[in-house]
Amino acid sequence: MILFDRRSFRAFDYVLLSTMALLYTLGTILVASAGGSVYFRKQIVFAAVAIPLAIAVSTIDYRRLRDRAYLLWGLVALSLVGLLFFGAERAGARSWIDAGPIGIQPSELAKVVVILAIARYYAEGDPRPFGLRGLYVPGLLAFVPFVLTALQPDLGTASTFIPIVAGIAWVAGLRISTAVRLSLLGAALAPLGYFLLEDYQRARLFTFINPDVDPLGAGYQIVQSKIAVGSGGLVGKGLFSGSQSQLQFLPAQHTDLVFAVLGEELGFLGVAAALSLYLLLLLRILQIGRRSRDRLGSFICAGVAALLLYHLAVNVGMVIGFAPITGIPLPFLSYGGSSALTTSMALGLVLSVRTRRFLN
Amino acid sequence: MSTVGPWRPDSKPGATRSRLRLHWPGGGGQEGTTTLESPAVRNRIDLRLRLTQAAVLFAVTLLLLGFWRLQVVHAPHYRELAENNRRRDELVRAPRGLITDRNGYLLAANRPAYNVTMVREEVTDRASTLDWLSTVLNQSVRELEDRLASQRGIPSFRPVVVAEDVSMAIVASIEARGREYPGVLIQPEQKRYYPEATLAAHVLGHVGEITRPQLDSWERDRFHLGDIVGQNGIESVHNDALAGWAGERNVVVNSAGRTVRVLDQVPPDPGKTLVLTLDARLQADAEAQLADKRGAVVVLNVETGGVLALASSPTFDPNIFAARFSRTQWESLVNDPADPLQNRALQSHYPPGSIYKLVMAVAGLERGIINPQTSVFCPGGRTIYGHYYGCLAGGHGRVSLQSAIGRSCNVYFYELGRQLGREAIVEASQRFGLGARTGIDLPNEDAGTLPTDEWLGANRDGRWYPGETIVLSIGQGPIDTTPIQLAKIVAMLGSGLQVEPHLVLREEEAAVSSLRAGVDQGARPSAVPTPVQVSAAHRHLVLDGMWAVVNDNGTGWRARNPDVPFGGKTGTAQVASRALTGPEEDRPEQLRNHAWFVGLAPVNDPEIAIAVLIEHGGGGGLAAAPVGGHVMSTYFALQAGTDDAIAQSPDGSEGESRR
Repeated sequence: MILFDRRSFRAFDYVLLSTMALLYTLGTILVASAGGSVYFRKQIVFAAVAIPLAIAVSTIDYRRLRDRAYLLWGLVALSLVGLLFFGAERAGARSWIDAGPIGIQPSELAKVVVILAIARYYAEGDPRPFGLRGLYVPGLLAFVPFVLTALQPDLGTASTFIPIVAGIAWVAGLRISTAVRLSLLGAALAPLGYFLLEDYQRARLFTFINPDVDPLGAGYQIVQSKIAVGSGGLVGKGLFSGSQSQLQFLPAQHTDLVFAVLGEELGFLGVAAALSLYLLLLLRILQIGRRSRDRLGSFICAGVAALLLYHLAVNVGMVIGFAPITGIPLPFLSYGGSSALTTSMALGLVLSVRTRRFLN
Repeated sequence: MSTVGPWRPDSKPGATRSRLRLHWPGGGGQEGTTTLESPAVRNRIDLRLRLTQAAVLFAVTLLLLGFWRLQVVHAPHYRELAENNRRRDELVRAPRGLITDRNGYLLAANRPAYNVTMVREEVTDRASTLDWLSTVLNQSVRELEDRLASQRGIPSFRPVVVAEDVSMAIVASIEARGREYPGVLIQPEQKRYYPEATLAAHVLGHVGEITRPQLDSWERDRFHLGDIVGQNGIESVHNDALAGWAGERNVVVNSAGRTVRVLDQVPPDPGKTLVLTLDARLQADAEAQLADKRGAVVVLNVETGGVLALASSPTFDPNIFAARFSRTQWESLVNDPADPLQNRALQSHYPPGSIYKLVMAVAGLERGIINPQTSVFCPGGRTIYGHYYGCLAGGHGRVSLQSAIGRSCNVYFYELGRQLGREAIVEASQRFGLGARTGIDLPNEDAGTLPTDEWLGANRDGRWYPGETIVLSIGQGPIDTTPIQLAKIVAMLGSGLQVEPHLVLREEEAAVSSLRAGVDQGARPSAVPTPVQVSAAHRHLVLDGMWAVVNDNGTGWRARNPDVPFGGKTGTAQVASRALTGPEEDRPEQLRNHAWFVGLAPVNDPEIAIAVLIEHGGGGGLAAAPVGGHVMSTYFALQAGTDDAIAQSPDGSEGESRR
C-alpha cells in the first residue's frame, strides 16, 4: 500500500480500468447465458480476481520486471519443456500444470514474459531502424515458446507469439521494406506450412474456405456460428433468448464462440458496443505507449496491444467466418481463468507504464 | 537512419554509444540507457504507434462491417436458417380405438410404453453411440444395425425405433447419459394391450407394424412408416375405425433433437371404440370348454347373427405381436404343428357328418318327399345301388322324421337322399349358405365345399356317381363346412331369418363416457330381416327332431339342461374308414373322427344357436354335445343372474356353478 500514494491514484488510468470492468461484466453475463450457472459463478470469481490482479501488477515498476525478464523467460521455457513430459492433458493438449484446484497454463504466462523479454531487448539496443538482423534475438525469444507450445499441441496459443514479435519489432523500428519482404515470404511459405498441419487442422482450414461442404461435420461450427450471429439481426433476440445458444446448437459457446452468443442475443448494436469497448481499450493501450517515459514502456504497450488485437481479430473473425476455427479465446468475454490471468498481467504492465509516467 | 550495417544492441561502447548519450527532455537522466532517447527516435516510435492505432481502427471497422453484412443485410436469411434449426414437425400418432365386449368389458386397450429412438441426423458418433446402446439394452450392435436398416425409409430427422417397450431402468440410464450421445431419445408410445391375454384372441387378431404393401395400397397421408396397425382379426378388418387419424405438432428441439417445447399442434383424432357382439363371459366359458382340445365353438344370436362367442383352440396371446421386434416368439407360434393361429371356427373346414341331416330334412320336406308321418325301417344298414351302407349296429327299427333326427338314423337319410338326388340336396344347402362364406367380419374365411355343378365341372370333369349321393346324405364325401356355417344354419332354422354372422355391435366415439351393460341384443347389418325360403311348418318339424336329439333318448342327451329345453344335433365326421382302421377307440388320435354338435336354445323359442367342433374328438354325442350343453347353459345362467354378479370376471367356472 506504500506505493498507493496520492500521485499513483491520480496516475491510474481509470479509462482503461473501467473499460476492463465493463468488458468483464458483459463477459460474465454472456457466460451465464451461454454456459449456465456453474460457469457463471466461476467466471464471476475470475473477473473479480482479474481487475485487482491488474492493479497489483501495475504497482510493480515495469523496469524492475525488465531486469528479470530473461530469467523469467528461461523459467517459462523450462516449464514448457517439462510440460511436454509431465503435463496434464486437457482437451487433447498437454498444456496444464495441475496445481490442486487451479490449473496453470505456462503457455499463457509465456505470452507476458515474451513481451517483456523482447521489449527489453529492443529497449536496450540501438534505437535506429533495423532490418532482418534486428529480428534474430527477438525471433529466438518467441520461437522457443512457439515450438514448445505447438508441440503440446496447441497451435492456436503458439500462433500468438508471432504477432507479439511483429508488433514490438514494428514499433521498435523494423524497416518497412523488411516488413514487406517478410510478409511476402510468409505468404509464399504458407502453402508449405499446410503439409505440417494435422488432419483435423487441415479440415478446419478447408471448411473455413468453404463451410457448406460439410455443414454437419467439420464446417458445423462456422455454419452454426454464422446462423446465430445472422439471426440476431439489428437488436438481437434478447439475453438468455438466443435459440441457437440456448438450444445448444453452438459448440463451445461459452468459450471460443461466446461472441456468437453476443451477436445472437444482443444483435448488431450489442456487437458494435462491445467492439467499441475493445477499440477504446486498444487505442488507449497504444496511447499509453506513445506517452511512455521510455522506449521499454512503448514496446511493452505495443506487445500487449498486438497480443490483444490478434486475439480479437482471430476470435471475432472466426465467429463471422473471416478466420478459420482455432482455439483462441476472446479476452474478457470467453469463459476461462488462465486467459484472464494473462490479460490481467499484460494490462497490469500497461498500467504500470502509465503510472510510471507520473512517478519517480 | 542512413547507416545500414550490422546492428548489435548495446554491444560496442564507442562512437555510437556516445552519440546516444543525449538527454531526453521528458525523462530523468539518472535511470540509465533506456531513457536516453533522442526526439527523433521518440517521434519515430510515436509515428509507428499512431499507425498501429490506425490499423486497430481499420481492423475493428472491418469486423464491424462483417457483422453489418451478416446481421443487417442478410438477417432474414439467417433467421430462417435458425428457425429450421430449431423447429420440427412431428407426427402424433392417434391412440388406437378400444375393443370391448357387448357389456363394455375391455378386450383390447392401450398402455403407455417407452421406446428408445434415434434421430440419425443428430447422432455425431454413430459407432460409439451404438456401442453404448448395445451395452444399455443388452443387445448386439448387429441387431441394432439391422433395426436401423429396416427403417431406412424414414427421413433422418425423424426418430426411428431402436428398442421397444424398455424397462424404466433403461429409460433412466438413457436419460441420464443422453447428453453425451445426442440423437438418442426416449419416446413414449401407446402400445396395444390385451388385458385378458388369450381371451377371444382369434376374434381380436393382433396388431403389428405396417408393411410396405399396406403402406403403398392404403390411404395416402393417413398411414406412416412405423405405424402399428391391425394385422389380423377384428384389428385388421376394422382397422379403419380403430386406427383414427394421426395429428401433428410443431416443436422446438435442441441440438440433441430433444423436444424443448411445443409451439403448435393439431391433436390426433383417436380411433373409435368397437363394441363387439361378444359376451366375454360366454366367450371365456367356451374357451374353457375347449382347453386341451383342438376345436372351435361358435355361438350366434339367431335373430341378428351377432356372434356371442367364437372360440378356437389352441389359442395364443396376441400381446406378443404388439412388439415390433420379438420375431422369435411369434415364429414359434407360426411353426407350432397344432397351429394356434388358425381360427378353426371359420378358417378350417370339416365334413359336417350327421349335422347335414338337418339340411337333408328341410330339403325332403320342402320337396314333399317326406312328411312327419313318413317312416322307414332301419335294420342297421341298407344296400343301395349294390353297395351296403351302414347305420347303428342292431338298427333303429322303425323311425319317423323326428326320431331319425333324434337318434341320427343313417338309413332314413340314405333313402331320402336317394330320392332327392344331388341337385336338390345342393339347392337346399345353398339356401342355407353352404359352399359360400358367411361374410363374418374376420379375415381368411373358408367357403367350404359343396358338390355343385361348377364344383364337379372344375374338380371331377362333371362326373358324379349315384352312390356318392347316398354318402352325401349323411354329410360325408365331397362336402366340407366350417363351424360358423353350421352355426348359421342352425340360427336360420331357429329364427326363420337370413342370418349374417357379425362381430361389431356398434362403433362409439373415443370419448367413452361409461359403457353401459347392454340389454341391446345387437343391431342387424341389414335393416329389414329377410326370411329364409323355408316354410315355418317345415322348420318346426326339424326343430322337433332337434329337441328329440337332446331330450328324447337322442344322441345329444349329454347336452341336456333340466330348466331350458335345448335342441341339438350331433355329428361325427369320418376321418378314416372304419374298414381300414378298425374301431374308433383303437385308432391313433389323428385318425379319430371329428366330433360335431350344433344346438339351439330354447328350442321352442330360439335365442341362440351354437356349433361345436372337436377335432379328432371321436363321437359327436360323447365329445361335442357336453361342450355345447355347457356353453348354452352358461348363456342362460348369465341371462338369469344379474349381470353385475358375474361381469367382474369372465371366467368359465361361473357358468358351471350356475348350471
